[in-house]
Amino acid sequence: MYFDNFYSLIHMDGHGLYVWAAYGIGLLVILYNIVAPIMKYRKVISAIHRHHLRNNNATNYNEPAGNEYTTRKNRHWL
Amino acid sequence: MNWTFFHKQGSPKWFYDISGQWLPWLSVLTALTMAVGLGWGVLFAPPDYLQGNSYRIIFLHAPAAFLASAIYALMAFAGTVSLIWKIKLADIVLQCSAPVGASFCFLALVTGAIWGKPTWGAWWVWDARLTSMLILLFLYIGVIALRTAIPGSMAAAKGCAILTLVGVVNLPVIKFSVEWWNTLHQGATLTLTQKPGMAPEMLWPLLLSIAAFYLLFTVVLILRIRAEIFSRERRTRWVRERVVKPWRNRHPCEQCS
Repeated sequence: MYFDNFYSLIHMDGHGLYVWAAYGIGLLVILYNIVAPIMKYRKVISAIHRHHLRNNNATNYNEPAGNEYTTRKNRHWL
Repeated sequence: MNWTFFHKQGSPKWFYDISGQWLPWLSVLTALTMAVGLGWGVLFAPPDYLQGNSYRIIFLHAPAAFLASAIYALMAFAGTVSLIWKIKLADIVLQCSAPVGASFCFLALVTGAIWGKPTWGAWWVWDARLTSMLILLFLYIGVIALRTAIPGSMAAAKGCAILTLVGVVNLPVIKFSVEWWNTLHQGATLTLTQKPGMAPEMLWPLLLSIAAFYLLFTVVLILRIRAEIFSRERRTRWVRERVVKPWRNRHPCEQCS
């Protein structure tokens, strides 16, 4: 590591406030970018669930879809 | 040319299924690259002989600024495809890229201002590079606002695509502003044609940080596109199959049976 101790890492020869403020804001922007789409995804999923419960058993989803694009295994990674 | 292949790539269903397999790998790769790139830049790289340690902001500022321009270029490409071929996925890409681009443009401007204070003695100057980046932020906000004003219609897709394409004129202005005008902002650090003037122990973490930001954008864009696809196609059979079926298996209650 370039810095000898924790104090010099924080202080950065007088530039610490600028550097760490920039990285703090950077962290916030990155977190916003990751959290916002995950929240939206969950909101949409629960909206579809509610809609399904209201219109219960309108369609039989256990039937095979029979479409050329559904050969891949369904993955819900989130 | 096989047009069925072309349209299959543009199908939201195809994208949803394939992107679910890419996401875990891309996320791990992004986290690793970002930890190495930024960690190396902040903790291990030597200080600049002139700017001291304040230059360490470059590992955040330059990738964010590159990304802000690149995302706009991607939006312009998606807008063109959306206008010409009316491919749904292209419009979704345009819509989902805008807030990400705006956030990175904002980050580039803010980190630039923070870096400017110890280096130039001013948070902000009306320099050509800074002003053109501010215009880029306004263009992003314009595209987001236009979409919010006319939600879920073909007119919104067309309007956003046209607005994005008009704003493309700003991209070469950003790129060449440091050459066309006598700016306070320094010239390009990295160019494709010239040997970099930066020391390798600074250059490598910078290149890694740039790669990490591009990877992060890919992951975030995929996450946003997947949510938007579900939102737009929520009434279709394939979406309900993917949402209701796994959920029903987890909660075998009377209502769901």
